[in-house]
Amino acid sequence: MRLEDQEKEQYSRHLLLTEVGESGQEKLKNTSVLVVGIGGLGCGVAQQLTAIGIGKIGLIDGDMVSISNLQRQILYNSSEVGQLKVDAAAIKLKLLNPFISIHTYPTFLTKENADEIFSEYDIIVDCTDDISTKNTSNTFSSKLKKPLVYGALYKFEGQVSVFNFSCGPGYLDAFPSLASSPPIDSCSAIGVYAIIPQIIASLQANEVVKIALQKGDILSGKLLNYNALTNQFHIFKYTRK
Amino acid sequence: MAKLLYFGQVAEIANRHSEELPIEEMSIADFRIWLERKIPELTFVSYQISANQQLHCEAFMLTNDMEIAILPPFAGG
Repeated sequence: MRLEDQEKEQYSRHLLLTEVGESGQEKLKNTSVLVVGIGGLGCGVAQQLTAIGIGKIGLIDGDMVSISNLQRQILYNSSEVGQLKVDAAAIKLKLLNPFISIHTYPTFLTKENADEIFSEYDIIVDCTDDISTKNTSNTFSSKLKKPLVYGALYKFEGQVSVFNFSCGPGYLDAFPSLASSPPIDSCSAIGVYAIIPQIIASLQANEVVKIALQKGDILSGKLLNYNALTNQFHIFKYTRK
Repeated sequence: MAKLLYFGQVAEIANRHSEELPIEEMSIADFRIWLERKIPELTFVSYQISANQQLHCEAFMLTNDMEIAILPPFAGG
Protein backbone atom coordinates (compact mmCIF):
# COMPACT_ATOMS: atom_id res chain seq x y z
CA MET A 1 0.00 0.00 0.00
CA ARG A 2 1.21 3.50 -0.90
CA LEU A 3 1.11 6.57 1.37
CA GLU A 4 -1.77 9.02 1.05
CA ASP A 5 -1.01 12.77 0.94
CA GLN A 6 -2.08 13.29 4.58
CA GLU A 7 0.18 10.46 5.66
CA LYS A 8 3.11 12.03 3.82
CA GLU A 9 2.56 15.18 5.89
CA GLN A 10 2.29 13.22 9.17
CA TYR A 11 5.48 11.27 8.45
CA SER A 12 7.32 14.16 6.77
CA ARG A 13 10.27 14.10 9.20
CA HIS A 14 10.79 10.43 8.42
CA LEU A 15 10.54 11.01 4.69
CA LEU A 16 13.53 13.36 4.99
CA LEU A 17 15.74 10.56 6.33
CA THR A 18 17.58 8.66 3.62
CA GLU A 19 17.43 5.52 5.83
CA VAL A 20 13.60 5.69 5.82
CA GLY A 21 12.24 7.87 3.00
CA GLU A 22 8.96 7.14 1.22
CA SER A 23 9.83 3.52 0.45
CA GLY A 24 10.80 2.86 4.07
CA GLN A 25 7.66 4.51 5.40
CA GLU A 26 5.63 2.30 3.04
CA LYS A 27 7.42 -0.74 4.47
CA LEU A 28 6.34 0.36 7.96
CA LYS A 29 2.76 0.82 6.70
CA ASN A 30 2.80 -2.69 5.24
CA THR A 31 4.12 -4.27 8.47
CA SER A 32 1.88 -5.85 11.12
CA VAL A 33 2.98 -6.10 14.76
CA LEU A 34 1.36 -7.85 17.72
CA VAL A 35 2.08 -6.36 21.16
CA VAL A 36 1.63 -9.04 23.84
CA GLY A 37 0.81 -7.43 27.19
CA ILE A 38 -0.24 -3.77 27.39
CA GLY A 39 1.40 -2.87 30.69
CA GLY A 40 4.49 -0.71 31.24
CA LEU A 41 6.40 -2.00 28.22
CA GLY A 42 3.36 -2.58 26.03
CA CYS A 43 2.01 0.98 26.44
CA GLY A 44 5.34 2.44 25.34
CA VAL A 45 5.83 0.02 22.44
CA ALA A 46 2.25 0.43 21.15
CA GLN A 47 2.39 4.22 21.38
CA GLN A 48 5.67 4.47 19.47
CA LEU A 49 4.72 1.97 16.79
CA THR A 50 1.40 3.81 16.30
CA ALA A 51 3.06 7.20 16.00
CA ILE A 52 5.68 5.86 13.60
CA GLY A 53 3.04 4.40 11.26
CA ILE A 54 3.16 0.62 11.59
CA GLY A 55 0.12 -0.23 9.45
CA LYS A 56 -1.54 -2.89 11.59
CA ILE A 57 -1.09 -3.24 15.35
CA GLY A 58 -2.60 -5.95 17.54
CA LEU A 59 -3.00 -5.52 21.31
CA ILE A 60 -3.53 -8.59 23.50
CA ASP A 61 -4.17 -8.35 27.24
CA GLY A 62 -7.01 -9.61 29.45
CA ASP A 63 -6.17 -7.26 32.31
CA MET A 64 -8.06 -4.16 33.51
CA VAL A 65 -6.55 -0.75 34.29
CA SER A 66 -5.79 -0.35 37.99
CA ILE A 67 -4.74 2.76 39.90
CA SER A 68 -1.24 1.33 40.52
CA ASN A 69 -0.70 1.11 36.72
CA LEU A 70 -0.85 4.90 36.24
CA GLN A 71 2.67 5.42 37.66
CA ARG A 72 4.19 4.01 34.43
CA GLN A 73 1.53 2.77 31.97
CA ILE A 74 1.27 5.98 29.99
CA LEU A 75 -1.75 5.23 27.79
CA TYR A 76 -4.20 5.17 30.71
CA ASN A 77 -5.77 7.78 32.95
CA SER A 78 -7.58 7.69 36.29
CA SER A 79 -11.06 7.75 34.71
CA GLU A 80 -10.31 4.42 33.01
CA VAL A 81 -9.62 2.36 36.15
CA GLY A 82 -11.58 -0.89 35.83
CA GLN A 83 -11.75 -0.78 32.01
CA LEU A 84 -10.06 -3.35 29.79
CA LYS A 85 -6.52 -2.19 28.99
CA VAL A 86 -6.84 -3.05 25.30
CA ASP A 87 -9.99 -0.91 24.98
CA ALA A 88 -8.52 2.09 26.81
CA ALA A 89 -5.27 1.82 24.84
CA ALA A 90 -7.02 1.46 21.45
CA ILE A 91 -8.95 4.73 21.95
CA LYS A 92 -5.72 6.70 22.49
CA LEU A 93 -3.85 5.01 19.68
CA LYS A 94 -6.61 5.61 17.12
CA LEU A 95 -6.61 9.31 18.05
CA LEU A 96 -2.82 9.43 17.67
CA ASN A 97 -2.83 7.90 14.19
CA PRO A 98 -6.06 7.42 12.21
CA PHE A 99 -4.15 5.97 9.23
CA ILE A 100 -3.40 2.61 10.85
CA SER A 101 -5.60 -0.26 12.04
CA ILE A 102 -5.71 -1.35 15.70
CA HIS A 103 -6.99 -4.83 16.59
CA THR A 104 -7.75 -5.77 20.18
CA TYR A 105 -7.77 -9.18 21.90
CA PRO A 106 -9.26 -8.86 25.42
CA THR A 107 -7.71 -12.08 26.66
CA PHE A 108 -4.42 -13.38 28.01
CA LEU A 109 -2.02 -15.20 25.70
CA THR A 110 -2.26 -18.98 26.11
CA LYS A 111 -0.96 -22.06 24.33
CA GLU A 112 -4.51 -22.45 23.00
CA ASN A 113 -4.85 -19.01 21.32
CA ALA A 114 -1.23 -18.13 20.45
CA ASP A 115 -1.04 -19.99 17.15
CA GLU A 116 -4.14 -18.37 15.64
CA ILE A 117 -3.37 -14.83 16.84
CA PHE A 118 0.39 -14.87 16.05
CA SER A 119 -0.29 -16.11 12.52
CA GLU A 120 -1.99 -12.75 11.73
CA TYR A 121 1.19 -10.69 12.32
CA ASP A 122 4.70 -10.26 10.89
CA ILE A 123 6.49 -9.39 14.16
CA ILE A 124 5.63 -10.26 17.79
CA VAL A 125 6.67 -7.99 20.69
CA ASP A 126 6.75 -9.60 24.13
CA CYS A 127 5.82 -7.10 26.85
CA THR A 128 4.41 -9.58 29.36
CA ASP A 129 5.02 -9.72 33.06
CA ASP A 130 5.81 -13.39 33.67
CA ILE A 131 8.31 -15.98 32.50
CA SER A 132 5.67 -18.57 31.57
CA THR A 133 3.95 -16.26 29.04
CA LYS A 134 7.32 -15.13 27.67
CA ASN A 135 8.07 -18.80 27.09
CA THR A 136 4.73 -19.28 25.30
CA SER A 137 5.48 -16.26 23.07
CA ASN A 138 8.87 -17.76 22.24
CA THR A 139 7.47 -21.23 21.50
CA PHE A 140 4.88 -19.99 19.01
CA SER A 141 7.04 -17.31 17.37
CA SER A 142 9.66 -20.02 16.80
CA LYS A 143 7.07 -22.44 15.41
CA LEU A 144 5.64 -19.81 13.04
CA LYS A 145 9.14 -18.44 12.16
CA LYS A 146 8.28 -14.89 13.24
CA PRO A 147 10.76 -12.60 15.03
CA LEU A 148 10.01 -12.03 18.72
CA VAL A 149 11.23 -8.75 20.23
CA TYR A 150 11.73 -9.55 23.91
CA GLY A 151 11.72 -7.01 26.73
CA ALA A 152 11.87 -7.63 30.47
CA LEU A 153 12.35 -5.54 33.60
CA TYR A 154 13.84 -5.88 37.07
CA LYS A 155 13.43 -2.77 39.24
CA PHE A 156 15.91 -0.27 37.65
CA GLU A 157 17.16 -2.61 34.91
CA GLY A 158 15.86 -3.94 31.64
CA GLN A 159 16.76 -6.53 29.00
CA VAL A 160 16.10 -6.53 25.26
CA SER A 161 16.79 -9.17 22.63
CA VAL A 162 15.32 -10.44 19.34
CA PHE A 163 14.53 -14.14 19.29
CA ASN A 164 13.87 -16.43 16.31
CA PHE A 165 14.97 -13.80 13.75
CA SER A 166 15.88 -15.48 10.43
CA CYS A 167 16.08 -18.85 12.23
CA GLY A 168 18.36 -17.28 14.86
CA PRO A 169 18.53 -18.29 18.55
CA GLY A 170 15.55 -18.05 20.90
CA TYR A 171 14.64 -17.46 24.55
CA LEU A 172 15.90 -20.81 25.82
CA ASP A 173 19.21 -20.28 24.00
CA ALA A 174 19.75 -17.07 25.97
CA PHE A 175 18.44 -18.61 29.21
CA PRO A 176 18.66 -22.43 28.95
CA SER A 177 18.24 -22.91 32.70
CA LEU A 178 14.75 -21.36 32.60
CA ALA A 179 13.15 -24.75 32.02
CA SER A 180 14.20 -25.82 35.51
CA SER A 181 14.44 -22.43 37.22
CA PRO A 182 12.66 -21.37 40.40
CA PRO A 183 9.82 -18.81 39.97
CA ILE A 184 10.95 -15.27 39.17
CA ASP A 185 9.02 -12.36 40.68
CA SER A 186 7.21 -9.83 38.47
CA CYS A 187 6.84 -6.03 38.90
CA SER A 188 3.68 -6.43 41.01
CA ALA A 189 5.63 -8.42 43.61
CA ILE A 190 8.97 -6.57 43.69
CA GLY A 191 8.24 -3.07 42.37
CA VAL A 192 9.54 -1.30 39.27
CA TYR A 193 11.10 2.12 38.65
CA ALA A 194 8.55 4.14 36.62
CA ILE A 195 10.99 5.38 33.94
CA ILE A 196 12.59 2.06 32.98
CA PRO A 197 9.59 0.67 31.00
CA GLN A 198 9.70 3.66 28.63
CA ILE A 199 13.44 3.26 28.00
CA ILE A 200 13.20 -0.48 27.34
CA ALA A 201 10.00 -0.05 25.28
CA SER A 202 11.84 2.47 23.09
CA LEU A 203 14.63 -0.04 22.51
CA GLN A 204 12.06 -2.72 21.62
CA ALA A 205 10.24 -0.38 19.19
CA ASN A 206 13.61 0.45 17.63
CA GLU A 207 14.25 -3.27 16.95
CA VAL A 208 10.78 -3.58 15.35
CA VAL A 209 11.49 -0.65 13.03
CA LYS A 210 14.92 -2.01 12.02
CA ILE A 211 13.41 -5.42 11.27
CA ALA A 212 10.64 -3.82 9.19
CA LEU A 213 13.07 -1.55 7.31
CA GLN A 214 15.78 -4.22 7.04
CA LYS A 215 18.28 -1.63 8.31
CA GLY A 216 20.98 -1.61 10.97
CA ASP A 217 22.11 -4.30 13.40
CA ILE A 218 19.36 -6.41 14.94
CA LEU A 219 19.73 -7.70 18.53
CA SER A 220 19.53 -11.28 17.27
CA GLY A 221 21.87 -13.52 19.27
CA LYS A 222 22.57 -10.53 21.51
CA LEU A 223 21.12 -9.78 24.95
CA LEU A 224 21.18 -6.08 25.85
CA ASN A 225 21.08 -5.09 29.54
CA TYR A 226 20.48 -1.48 30.61
CA ASN A 227 20.77 -0.13 34.15
CA ALA A 228 19.01 3.21 34.75
CA LEU A 229 20.92 3.88 37.99
CA THR A 230 24.40 3.44 36.53
CA ASN A 231 23.54 4.50 32.93
CA GLN A 232 25.38 1.41 31.69
CA PHE A 233 24.55 -0.65 28.62
CA HIS A 234 26.01 -4.15 28.24
CA ILE A 235 25.53 -6.52 25.29
CA PHE A 236 26.14 -10.27 25.60
CA LYS A 237 26.28 -12.57 22.57
CA TYR A 238 24.72 -16.03 22.52
CA THR A 239 24.20 -18.74 19.93
CA ARG A 240 21.66 -21.45 19.16
CA LYS A 241 22.21 -24.45 21.45
CA MET B 1 42.34 -10.79 38.34
CA ALA B 2 38.93 -11.65 36.90
CA LYS B 3 36.32 -8.89 36.75
CA LEU B 4 32.91 -10.12 37.94
CA LEU B 5 29.78 -8.21 36.84
CA TYR B 6 26.47 -8.78 38.62
CA PHE B 7 23.02 -7.92 37.22
CA GLY B 8 19.44 -7.70 38.46
CA GLN B 9 18.58 -9.88 41.43
CA VAL B 10 22.13 -11.27 41.48
CA ALA B 11 23.57 -7.76 42.05
CA GLU B 12 21.04 -7.24 44.80
CA ILE B 13 22.02 -10.47 46.55
CA ALA B 14 25.75 -9.82 46.07
CA ASN B 15 25.19 -6.21 47.22
CA ARG B 16 27.40 -4.88 44.42
CA HIS B 17 27.45 -4.45 40.64
CA SER B 18 31.05 -5.56 40.13
CA GLU B 19 34.24 -6.70 41.85
CA GLU B 20 37.70 -7.93 40.90
CA LEU B 21 38.79 -11.30 42.30
CA PRO B 22 41.52 -13.85 41.56
CA ILE B 23 40.02 -17.10 40.22
CA GLU B 24 41.63 -20.40 39.29
CA GLU B 25 41.07 -21.77 35.78
CA MET B 26 37.79 -23.68 35.97
CA SER B 27 34.71 -24.60 33.97
CA ILE B 28 31.52 -22.54 34.19
CA ALA B 29 29.91 -25.49 36.02
CA ASP B 30 32.67 -25.39 38.66
CA PHE B 31 32.50 -21.59 38.79
CA ARG B 32 28.82 -21.89 39.76
CA ILE B 33 29.77 -24.13 42.69
CA TRP B 34 32.55 -21.69 43.73
CA LEU B 35 30.22 -18.69 43.39
CA GLU B 36 27.38 -20.32 45.34
CA ARG B 37 29.81 -21.15 48.20
CA LYS B 38 30.80 -17.48 48.23
CA ILE B 39 27.18 -16.25 47.95
CA PRO B 40 24.89 -19.11 49.15
CA GLU B 41 21.63 -17.24 48.31
CA LEU B 42 22.45 -17.65 44.60
CA THR B 43 21.57 -21.34 44.94
CA PHE B 44 17.94 -20.26 44.67
CA VAL B 45 18.37 -18.04 41.59
CA SER B 46 18.45 -18.92 37.88
CA TYR B 47 21.35 -17.20 36.08
CA GLN B 48 23.56 -17.41 33.00
CA ILE B 49 27.29 -16.81 32.90
CA SER B 50 29.13 -14.95 30.17
CA ALA B 51 32.86 -14.70 29.58
CA ASN B 52 34.11 -11.62 27.73
CA GLN B 53 30.56 -10.67 26.69
CA GLN B 54 29.67 -14.12 25.29
CA LEU B 55 27.29 -16.60 26.94
CA HIS B 56 28.80 -20.09 27.04
CA CYS B 57 27.92 -23.70 27.89
CA GLU B 58 28.75 -25.21 31.28
CA ALA B 59 31.97 -26.87 30.03
CA PHE B 60 33.57 -23.59 28.88
CA MET B 61 36.80 -22.82 30.78
CA LEU B 62 37.07 -19.51 32.61
CA THR B 63 40.44 -17.89 33.27
CA ASN B 64 41.72 -15.20 35.60
CA ASP B 65 41.95 -12.54 32.87
CA MET B 66 38.28 -12.63 31.86
CA GLU B 67 35.30 -10.36 32.42
CA ILE B 68 32.68 -12.72 33.84
CA ALA B 69 29.04 -11.60 33.97
CA ILE B 70 26.35 -13.27 36.06
CA LEU B 71 22.99 -12.62 34.39
CA PRO B 72 19.56 -13.62 35.68
CA PRO B 73 16.51 -13.46 33.39
CA PHE B 74 14.03 -10.69 34.26
CA ALA B 75 10.29 -11.27 34.44
CA GLY B 76 8.78 -7.78 34.67
CA GLY B 77 6.94 -6.01 31.89
